[in-house]
Amino acid sequence: MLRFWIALWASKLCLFIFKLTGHERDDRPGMLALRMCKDFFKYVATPKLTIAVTGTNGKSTVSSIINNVLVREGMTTSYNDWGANHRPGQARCLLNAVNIFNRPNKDAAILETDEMTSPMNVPYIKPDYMVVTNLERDSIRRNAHPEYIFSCIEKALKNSPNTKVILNANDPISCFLGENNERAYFGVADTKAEHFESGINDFSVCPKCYSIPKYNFKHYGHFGDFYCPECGLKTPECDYFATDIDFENRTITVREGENNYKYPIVSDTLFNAFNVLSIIALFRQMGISPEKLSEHLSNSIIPVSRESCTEVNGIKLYTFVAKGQNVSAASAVFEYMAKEPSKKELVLLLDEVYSNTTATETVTWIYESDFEFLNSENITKIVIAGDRILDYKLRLMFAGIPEEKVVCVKDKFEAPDHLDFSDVERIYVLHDVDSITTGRKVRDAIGERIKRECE
Amino acid sequence: MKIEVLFPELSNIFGDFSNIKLLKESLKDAEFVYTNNFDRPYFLDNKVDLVYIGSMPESKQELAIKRLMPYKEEIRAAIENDVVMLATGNSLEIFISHIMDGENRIDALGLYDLYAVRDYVNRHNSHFVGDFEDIKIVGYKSQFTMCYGENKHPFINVVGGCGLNLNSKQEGIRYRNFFATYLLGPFLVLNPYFTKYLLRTMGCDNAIAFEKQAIDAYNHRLDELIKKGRFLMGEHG
Repeated sequence: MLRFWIALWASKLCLFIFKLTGHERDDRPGMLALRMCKDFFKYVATPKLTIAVTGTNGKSTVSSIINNVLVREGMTTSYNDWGANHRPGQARCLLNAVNIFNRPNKDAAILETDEMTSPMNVPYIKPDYMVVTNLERDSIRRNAHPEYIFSCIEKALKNSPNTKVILNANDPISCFLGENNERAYFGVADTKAEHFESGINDFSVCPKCYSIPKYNFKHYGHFGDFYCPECGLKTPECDYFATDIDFENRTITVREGENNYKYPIVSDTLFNAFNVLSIIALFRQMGISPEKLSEHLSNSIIPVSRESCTEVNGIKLYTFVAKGQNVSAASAVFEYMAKEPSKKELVLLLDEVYSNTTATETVTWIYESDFEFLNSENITKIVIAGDRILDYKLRLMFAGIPEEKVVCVKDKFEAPDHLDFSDVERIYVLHDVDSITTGRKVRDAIGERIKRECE
Repeated sequence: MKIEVLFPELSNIFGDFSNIKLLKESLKDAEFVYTNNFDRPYFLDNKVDLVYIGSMPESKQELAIKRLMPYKEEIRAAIENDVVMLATGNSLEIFISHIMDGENRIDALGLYDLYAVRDYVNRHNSHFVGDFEDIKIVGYKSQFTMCYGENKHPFINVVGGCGLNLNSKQEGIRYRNFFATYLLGPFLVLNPYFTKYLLRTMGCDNAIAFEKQAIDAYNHRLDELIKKGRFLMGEHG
């Protein structure tokens, strides 16, 4: 215990210095706390409300909006808004929520939680709620496959039996989590949108009887209304069921028991509609009225690290996260690119760039991801930039994309020179989570070029 | 030309299926037979030119072993009769003696006297360069297991990276026309020269689809890997 107190005071001092020097968004104080006391999570006090958010995709967006709603409710919160979701980040978040006497000084902590390491901290933190957005294919190197990640989260929840779990009923993998926890489900009715058949299939056999499962309808990827014709396994009943999504007016109608409520959504993508729905389910479970929640959501936005838009001379320029190595996230974005009807050009900056550049070598993910979706008439040109251009070129040819539509350049900042602005409504710069700044710089360079050409 | 894909519903991860896509693009007239886990393997009763099986999650790997166990001797006989087979990723383990998962021993088909040990805490990730006859093989490994025992039938000699285990200089199993490797994902796509070799073994002289682009990417990768000489990766590289 003495070790904990020393760790707490040392890391609090470290956090204070970091804040003083403008380095608040840094998880090193948390790292120090864990180095000095490996049982830090066991002893650190938690606020009266602790919410964990996990899942393959959508964690940052969902956590950010949850934080915004709580702040608008007048609560003081501790939240890492820079996506630090590993143990040091979580230690940093909880460190910020207590005083030097280890007494909570915030009303709530919102913990974006890495799925794989969740068994190492969730059982100690024992969050009041855990939102699981979805389980999909992620980085092969770290997360292996969804079945493995399911086992990690299940282990975490087994050791935190009082945590209430908010689950996606349309996800045939994560919906079976938390067998011994109290659960609430959200789901979406058939949107009747055109479904693109993905090459990824993580629900290829029934987990109970190994037969081939079927769907009444699919949303995207493996999400939909599923059932097993042999053993009867099926989509759980939804507590919060989106009966209608109006992307044009950006609203979602949610059936809750006998009542229907309308809420705003933050984006015109189906995956973000699911994200908002998970937040609605959480706050309705907490007892916030639909009217208040609706007002809070109308003041929420998607974090700019995920999506940004500017307009230059009538052309909309977007940056969009399409995580490299993350098969499902990239595929969902590619599907959106094809379904969003405007005439567009794409810049792909998907190399995963870490200090060890050999990391960019793992290209298994590009053969799992649905690059086929980019073979669409509304996508008039694809400029790929980075170290792995030869791999991407081959993959795009595999996907049936005409060679004349594809330009490969090694230098990312050469990409704008190969775009054609004469007949295009939108340009998307799709980038990895680690190239947010590069993505924005490339977007700005495109803007500059448009301006120059128009002068 | 007839190609059987064994248990596609179980072995559809890590991009291994792109190997079949490449064969489909390269062999436009070939017939593809997909055998699911409830069915008897087609190649046991019919002539096929290639049997392929890819990587799978561990529980599905155990199911695949269970489904194939009744046909163990017939599979052994097929291999002795020179049926061409390719197993990528952890599907190699279906054919060895057993897998140790903690204290739990999972008996596999036992065609080769090797065993694997699972370690869910330390996932192994690495790049690979090796020699198969006069062909340089490149690829990736990403696995929870290491394989041990005396490998009487090595497939590839390690130039850089990890063999069957961290101390082994041999990778995979090659016996007659049976090829098994822990290298996973787009193994054939990444190795156009080996793919041509495999096609020749199947009795086909076709060029492979997108051959020029595949060779360009292969040469670049090989050059990069040999120059860098770094093969082991952490979870983030």
